[in-house]
Amino acid sequence: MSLRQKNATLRGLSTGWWSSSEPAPGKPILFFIHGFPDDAESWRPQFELFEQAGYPVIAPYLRGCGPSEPASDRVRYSRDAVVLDHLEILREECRTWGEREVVVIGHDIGGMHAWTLARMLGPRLKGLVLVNAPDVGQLLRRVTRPKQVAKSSYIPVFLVRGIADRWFGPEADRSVRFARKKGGLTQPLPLPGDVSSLLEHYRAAFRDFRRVLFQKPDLVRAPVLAIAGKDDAFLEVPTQQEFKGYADKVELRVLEGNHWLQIEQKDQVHRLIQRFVEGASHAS
Amino acid sequence: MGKPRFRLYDEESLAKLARLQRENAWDLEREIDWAKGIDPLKPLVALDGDALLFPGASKEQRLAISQMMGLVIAAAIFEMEECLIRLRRECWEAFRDRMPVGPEFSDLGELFFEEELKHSTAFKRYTERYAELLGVELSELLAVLPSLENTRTEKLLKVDLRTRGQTFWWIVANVEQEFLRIHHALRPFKEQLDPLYYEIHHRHFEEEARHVPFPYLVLELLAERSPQPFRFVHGRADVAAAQVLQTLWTLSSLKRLKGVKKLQGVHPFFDTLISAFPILESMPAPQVVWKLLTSTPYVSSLVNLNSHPKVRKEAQARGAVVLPFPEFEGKPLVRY
Repeated sequence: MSLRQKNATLRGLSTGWWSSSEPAPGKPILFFIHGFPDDAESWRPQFELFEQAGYPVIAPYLRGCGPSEPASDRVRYSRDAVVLDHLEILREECRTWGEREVVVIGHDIGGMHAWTLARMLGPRLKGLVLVNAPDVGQLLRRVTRPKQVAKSSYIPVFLVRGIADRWFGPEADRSVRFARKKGGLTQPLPLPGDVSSLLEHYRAAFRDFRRVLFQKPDLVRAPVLAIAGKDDAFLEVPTQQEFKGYADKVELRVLEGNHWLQIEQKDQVHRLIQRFVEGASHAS
Repeated sequence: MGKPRFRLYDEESLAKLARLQRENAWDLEREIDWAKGIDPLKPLVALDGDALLFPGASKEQRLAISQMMGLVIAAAIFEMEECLIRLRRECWEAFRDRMPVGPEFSDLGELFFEEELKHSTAFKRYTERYAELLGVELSELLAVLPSLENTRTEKLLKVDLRTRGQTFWWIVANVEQEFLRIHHALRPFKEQLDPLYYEIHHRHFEEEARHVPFPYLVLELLAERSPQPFRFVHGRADVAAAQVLQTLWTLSSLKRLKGVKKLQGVHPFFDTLISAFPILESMPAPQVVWKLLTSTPYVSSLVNLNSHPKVRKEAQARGAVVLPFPEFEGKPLVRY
């Protein structure tokens, strides 16, 4: 079995992703969505392990990152547009693998895309895993938590076009290293290059804030596993109450660790996801 | 202080504890021999040389004092455990959902409350049977025993819990230790005590020994996740608040024993007990209070944190203010 990077023009834009070449029959697809300021490589410590165990894995590069071409139309960064890209990737792979259940796994802002994909998959969704990853609505509602407001103080800067784009543009390495250091990443992780387009994902999500705050999201009925770092520099640890109205069955795991748990606590996260996927978790 | 054995997010150790609890839980109906009944000629607890606060009491009076103290302890246990159940929403459910809690800890919490309900049922049933033996209604007997429901103490605890206070759980931590201590005090006298009473205490002890970590886990959660500035204030003040409330409640509960005078003539047990009251009444009140705080078996160890060094150390390690209490004098117990 081996992983290969694929590229295709999906919905008019070049899109890249990693996927397994020969997954074992019957296993659900594990769909890994990265966050900021990362790319699909941030999930490699996990998707390699699962791929070796025979799971079909997909790890896309979010729109504007790596081989996924940036879009001139900012609408293509919205959650609704990104989920269509992801559904196209799934359709592409399922031509070879056949229809399978999907476990969606998101980190950081990848989490909000993971929630959106989870809602769109309906009965095909076997489970949703969130690693340091609240949904946009959950994050917005934390405005009453002073610590979260302090931790999210960088977001308003990200929302204003022109400032953060310089920091995370072609000379992004220094800024990415700074962000990763702040988030407690000590393990090596390849630098993603220009990630300024990933800022558009933040902007698109916050443009949508009225819908996020005032419209009830569709309930995710499949089990959800939320993994949080006790010392996450950017996110407060979630509570069960935050998931009311979002998901029926939530297993919450708090690990000693910071923001990049899938790398820093690789074995623990792997074990939790594996157990969850095999259906032995508390939430199932 | 060494590293705690159980940590809030350590799923393996918490799951193991929950499994241990489930596998070893006893059944209230099948594993306690209720059919054995109560032996009215046997004491319920061992006493010290002074029969608690009645130096010079006669053999008959010592028996009655022992039986009354046994009933007081049983009532204190079921009142505290019923209080836990009554305040379950405030002391557990309200923050279980609002604070990050893993499934194993949640599970432990459910087990904890299940077992506390079982314990309170066991002790209350024993008290009910004792009331039948004495020819009084349960309510008449309960009127002279400790009570917590709707008291000022309970109301204050509720208020404290609403601001994510820790007072309640410090009381639970202390009381858990006291329950273990009571069993250790009774064990050497097992053959002499009422068998049913001893059996209930023994079963109680088995499960309470496994409950000991739980209040500390809750306190850890409150200490980490309660909103500021409550967290700071409660962290510093609530052990002292627990000490004060526990002392006041214990002293006021003992005052209720005066109500036994109303039961004169109902049963020789009450008459014998009342005949011992002048011994207590002849002592100056400050002397009585001093003895209650320092050297009365089953009472001093409940109110004086110096008798529970583990709880005291834990409190100090967390930066809490611990009120100074006089040195605790653990007196040797003899058969009643």
